[in-house]
Amino acid sequence: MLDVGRKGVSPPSPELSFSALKRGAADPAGYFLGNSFEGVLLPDSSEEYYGIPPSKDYIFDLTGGFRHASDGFAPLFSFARGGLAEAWTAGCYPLNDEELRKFALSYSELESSYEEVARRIGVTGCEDDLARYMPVHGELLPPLRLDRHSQKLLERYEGKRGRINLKTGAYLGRTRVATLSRAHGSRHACNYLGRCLWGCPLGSLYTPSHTLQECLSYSSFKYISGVRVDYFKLDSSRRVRSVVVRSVDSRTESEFPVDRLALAAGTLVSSRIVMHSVLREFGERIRLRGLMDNRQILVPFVNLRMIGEPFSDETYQYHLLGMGIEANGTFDYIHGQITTLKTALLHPIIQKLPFDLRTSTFVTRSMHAALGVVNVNFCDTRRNDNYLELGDELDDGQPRLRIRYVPSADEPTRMREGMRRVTQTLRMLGCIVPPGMAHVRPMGASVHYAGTLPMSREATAWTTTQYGQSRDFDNLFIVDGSTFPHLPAKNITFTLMANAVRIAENAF
Amino acid sequence: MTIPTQALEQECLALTHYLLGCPPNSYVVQKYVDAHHAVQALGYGSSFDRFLVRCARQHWLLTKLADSYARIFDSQGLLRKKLVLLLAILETSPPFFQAIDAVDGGSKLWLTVRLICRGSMAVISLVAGALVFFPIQLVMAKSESQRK
Repeated sequence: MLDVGRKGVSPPSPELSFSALKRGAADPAGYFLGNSFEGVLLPDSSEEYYGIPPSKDYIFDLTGGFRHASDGFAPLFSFARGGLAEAWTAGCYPLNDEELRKFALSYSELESSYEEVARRIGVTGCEDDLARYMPVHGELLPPLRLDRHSQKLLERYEGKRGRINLKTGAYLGRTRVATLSRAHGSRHACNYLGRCLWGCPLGSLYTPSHTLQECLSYSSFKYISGVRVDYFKLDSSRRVRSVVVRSVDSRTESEFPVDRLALAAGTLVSSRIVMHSVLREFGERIRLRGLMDNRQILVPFVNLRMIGEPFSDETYQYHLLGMGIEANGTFDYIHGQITTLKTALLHPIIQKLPFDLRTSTFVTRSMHAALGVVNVNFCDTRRNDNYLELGDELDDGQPRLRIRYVPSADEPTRMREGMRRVTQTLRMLGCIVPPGMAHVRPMGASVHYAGTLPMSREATAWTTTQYGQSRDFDNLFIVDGSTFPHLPAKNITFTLMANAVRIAENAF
Repeated sequence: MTIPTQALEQECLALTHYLLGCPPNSYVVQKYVDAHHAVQALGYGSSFDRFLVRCARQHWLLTKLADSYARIFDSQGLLRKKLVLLLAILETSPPFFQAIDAVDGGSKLWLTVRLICRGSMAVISLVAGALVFFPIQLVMAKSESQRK
């Protein structure tokens, strides 16, 4: 395995809860805000409600990387061990038959792979109302403990289920998360320390670096870090014969012969490697079309019944509830992850209230336990207007990656309708959505990139077989989101993992 | 622009008193000073921005008026940046984080009354702040543009 492979540092005092860490750490502000205060969200720094915590900065450190030029897209890249999913929120949602239709796959073909992934990484969940959108597969662990606010929301939903289902088409249930409710191998069960955002100190929340660590224990597995794959070379029969890498420190190039190449650098980087290889071999600049990403809207809400209630910091910090809304058929399903506010830093929220900071602090303190946010995800489809290509500009001898994205013409209508139904559902749950506070995240922010080298039954150029085998280079297998021909509203990471398992079992 | 450490310490004292009604400890003051060396955005601002900060240092009542005004009319200005920075430091520092996290006791009715009172005070501060600072901002902006 060739990887840049940047590593983070171990979390301090893994036994301490969020508040205890603030109380007991030698330099708490240094840990939570960073030594350069990069964790402070100043009024002009971002429209987001939260920033990347300093402990996860290494995930997005692109030193020794490449440049890009984007139009309509704000991409994130990672050179970390485990990649972008080191910063995920652990949502694991299997796709159903309808969503897999464009993949030329059925759920039954993926089910055993979903189960295998769940068995390996530990996924919690149960059969509830969301099962109508998320098939229930085996190997699920019991769900995590609900925090008080999530519990109240669920109770309220259960009391009004019929009316909500009928009026807004929304269904609520437990999200499935790759966080352990009981010990799994060397990883501990979640201890509800409330430190999820800063990096789970117990390893309960799964990240891909856990799997890498496990792979390293096999003598047949070789891991070479500190290198960035730039392109591959072909032989006369268009088979990949070697991979050319560049050291991120010394900038020197070296070459590794390959028999079969599994490319899993993430959609943007894998596509870049393919385009760069084609440019070097044939002098041709290809354009890979069909780039997709989920549009996300963050919808903050206030649960009126929770105002003035105390909050507990000893809870799981990420989403525990999910919301599924069927729009025009399952294919246009809208997926929401409901996160109640527990231990996130408050200054990004306080500064957004329309009062002076002292009053806003008082208001936020009173509302802390009542606040939450629904992260609403919309599906995306492949369109020719959205593509990746390499520009003429050279940065350090490397052609620059160009990204272009234009939302679909019907996106504003879909978002309006989705927002209306989410807001109405929240109202029926006893919550209000403060006017003007919903935030449409820029395209690229969801980091669910897909679609540039799609799997297809038709044997056309720049597509792959059902097993990720390139139709252009016989011994190249693409095992990341590039091959997804459709992007459902649900987070794709679980399906990425299941698809990789399926390909590994069938094609290798 | 480099601000003398002593001025920053005094500023931290005044702003902490405004935000939480108590003085900061040496850890918070040191962090506040360090941040001014580390964060570039805290080193510049218009002449009106600097004027607002100077006013805010004088007395908590002036801080309240300046902050209320800045929230609406200069929301990305220097004063708001300094206040947000300090709030971030306080919410991660013992024992101050407890004052930000803790919920005030009392019934829902009592809380509602307090929210209404605080909200009304915020509106009054905004109006008073606008009466005081809006003409000054206009004059300073005009003289700055004439100088250019």
